[in-house]
Amino acid sequence: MSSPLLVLLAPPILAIIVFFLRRWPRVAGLSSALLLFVLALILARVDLDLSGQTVAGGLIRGNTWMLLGREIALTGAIRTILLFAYGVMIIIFLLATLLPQGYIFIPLSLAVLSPLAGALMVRPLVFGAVLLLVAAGLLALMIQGERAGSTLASFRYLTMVAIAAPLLLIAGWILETEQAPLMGSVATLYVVAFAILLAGFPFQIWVAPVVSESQPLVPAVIFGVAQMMIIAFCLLLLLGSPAVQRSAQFWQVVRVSGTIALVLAGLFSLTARSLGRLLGYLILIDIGIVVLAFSFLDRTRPELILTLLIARVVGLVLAGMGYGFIRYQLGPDFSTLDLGGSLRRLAWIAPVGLILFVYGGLSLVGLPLTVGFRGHWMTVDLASTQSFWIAAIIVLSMAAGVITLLRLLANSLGQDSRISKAHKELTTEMKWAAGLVLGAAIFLAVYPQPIVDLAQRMILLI
Amino acid sequence: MIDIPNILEFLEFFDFLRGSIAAYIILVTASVIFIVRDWRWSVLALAVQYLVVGLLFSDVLDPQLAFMKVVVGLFICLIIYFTARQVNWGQLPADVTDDEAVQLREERLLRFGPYMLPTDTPFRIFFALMVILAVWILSQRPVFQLPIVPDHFNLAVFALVGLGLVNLSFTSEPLKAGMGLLTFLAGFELFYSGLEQSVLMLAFLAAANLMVALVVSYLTQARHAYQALLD
Repeated sequence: MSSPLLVLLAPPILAIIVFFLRRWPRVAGLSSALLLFVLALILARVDLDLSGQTVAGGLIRGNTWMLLGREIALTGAIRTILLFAYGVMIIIFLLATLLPQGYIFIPLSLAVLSPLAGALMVRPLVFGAVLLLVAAGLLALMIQGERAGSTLASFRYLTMVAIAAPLLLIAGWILETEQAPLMGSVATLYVVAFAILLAGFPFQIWVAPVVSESQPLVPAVIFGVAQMMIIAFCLLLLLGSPAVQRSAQFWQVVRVSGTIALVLAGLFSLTARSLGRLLGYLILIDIGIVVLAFSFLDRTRPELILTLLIARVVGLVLAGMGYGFIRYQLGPDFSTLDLGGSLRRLAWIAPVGLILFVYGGLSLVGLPLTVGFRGHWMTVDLASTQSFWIAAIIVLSMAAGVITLLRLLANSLGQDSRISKAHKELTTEMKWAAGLVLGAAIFLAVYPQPIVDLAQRMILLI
Repeated sequence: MIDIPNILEFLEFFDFLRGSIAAYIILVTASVIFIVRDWRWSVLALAVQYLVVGLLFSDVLDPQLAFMKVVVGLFICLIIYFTARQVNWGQLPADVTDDEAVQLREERLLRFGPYMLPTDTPFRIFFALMVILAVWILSQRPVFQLPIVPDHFNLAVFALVGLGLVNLSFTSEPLKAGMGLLTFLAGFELFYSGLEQSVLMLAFLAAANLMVALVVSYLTQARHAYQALLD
C-alpha cells in the first residue's frame, strides 16, 4: 500500500468502525483517538525521501499513487499538515468523551480527513477543489448533527463551497492550458473563490449560523482543522500561479474583503444576544484578520497565516469547551440564556465554562497573554506599514470583541437572575480536562515558540 | 430474448433531441424546477433534465462516460424522490394539524380563474422569465461565448447555472434549494466536460454530486422531522 492510499482509505475505514460504537460516546471517543494516534504514528514513520522504500512493517511502499491516470502524492509539507490535523482531532475526540457531540460527530470528523487530505495530494492540484466540495458535504452533515429544524447553517456552508469549487476549476484550466485571452480573468476567479472559502466579505454569512446551530466542538473542526487544510490548499494553488501572485488587483480585493469582514464582525459582536452568536462573531474577527494576513502575502512570508490558524485552533478548543460546559450545566435553561438579562448569575453557576469561553474568546481576538496575541499583533504591525486605516480597523474590531467579552463577564457576576442554579455539576474529569487545556493554552501564550516553529516548519516544507 | 439496445443505439434513437432542441428542453425543465411548487413535478423535471443533459454530454464525451453521467443523475433523482416521499412531499403529515405545526404552514393560495396557485408563483414566473431573457441574450452575444464547447452549449449552460442559482436563492427549503444547487452543478459540469475529460475528474464530480444529493436528503429529513414541525 502506498502512503497516499493509507491517508485516503484509513480515515473512512476508522469512521465506519467508530460508527458502530456511536451509542457509547466514551468508547467511541477513546477508540477513535487511539486509532487516529496509531495512524499518525505510521504516517510519521513514512520515509518521504526514498520513494518505494518499505516502512511501517512492510506495509507502506512509495509516496505516490496513480488513480485513473492521475498522480496522488504525499509530500513532506502535506504530511506535516496532516499530522497537525490528526493531533488536533485526537484532542477533540478526547474532549468528546466528556462532552458527547451526537452520534455522527466522530465518524464524520474521521471521514472528512480523507477528502481534505486528497484535496492537497491530487495532481493537478486544482482537482482538489471537487474534493473540498465532498468534504463540505460531510461537514454540512456534521453542522446539522441530529438536530431537527433549521438547516440554514449547513445548507449555506454547502452552497458556498459548491459555488467556489467551479470557479477554481475553471481558473485552473485557464492556467494549465495557457488560454491567453482568458488569463486576465484568473485573478478574478481566484479572488472570488478564495473569499468564499476563507469566509471573507461578502461570503461570511455562514459563519455565525454555523456556530450557533452546531454542537460546541464542531466549530473547532470546521474553522480549525478544515479551514487550515483549505487555506493550505489555497496557498499551494497560489504558489503554482505566478500570474495571480503578480496581480495587484487580486491582493487589493482580498484586502478589502478582509477589512469589511472585520468591520462587520466587530459591529456584530457588540450586538450579539446569545453566546453562540457571540462566539460566531469572535471567530469572524479572527477570520477577517486571517484574510487580511493572506492579503499581505505579497509582502510577507506565509508562516504568519499558519501561526494565526494554529492559535485559532487553540482558541476554538477553549471557547468550544467552555460553551459546551455552560450548555451542559444549564441544561434546558441554556436556550433561554441571553447576553442581556438571564445570564446574570452565570459566573457563579458555571464558572469553569465561563472562564474557558472568555479566555478562548480573548485568544480569538488576540489579546496579550493569550495564544492569539502574537499572530494578531504581527498582522497589526504589518498592516500599519501598509495603511494606517487597516491597522486601526483591526485594532478597533479586536477592541469590540474584548469589550463584548468583558461586558459578558461583568454581567455574569450579578446576583439577580431567574436562572438560579445549575441543572448538573461538572464531573471531576471535566474539571481536570478544563485545567489541562487551560494550562496548555496559557503555556503556549507565554512561550509561543512551539507554534512559531510548527508554522515555520510547514512553510519551509511547502 | 429481449434485445436491449446499446448506448449508441439509444443515442441514435434520441438523435432528434440533440443540439439546440436539448438546450430548449433544459430551459423548460430548469424553469419547471424553479416555478412549480409540487415536488413531484420538480423531481420529474430534474430526471428529464439529467437525461437531456446526458445527450449534450455525448457531444463532448465518450458515449459510455456520458451514460455514466446520466446514471449518476438518475441515482440523484432516486435519492431525492424517496426523500420527498418520506416527508410527504413537503406537506403536513395527516396526523399533524395546522395549529400544531409551527414550521410548516399550509401555503396561501390565490385564485386564477378556475385554478388555485401559491401566492409566490407569479413572482417566480416573473423571475424565471427575466432569467430566461437574460440567459437568451447572453448566449447570443459573441463576447459571452463559452470557450471550446459547441455553440448550443451556451444556452444550456447559462440556463442551468442561472436558473439553478435563482432557485437556490429563492427558498430555504432544503429539497427545493438542493435541486437548484444540483441544477447549477449540472450546468457547470456540462461546460467543464468540454474543457477537461479526465476520468478521475469525472469520478470526483460524480462523487461530489452524490454527496450533495445525500446532504440535501439528510437536511430535508431534518427540516421535516416531527420534532421540527411541532417545536
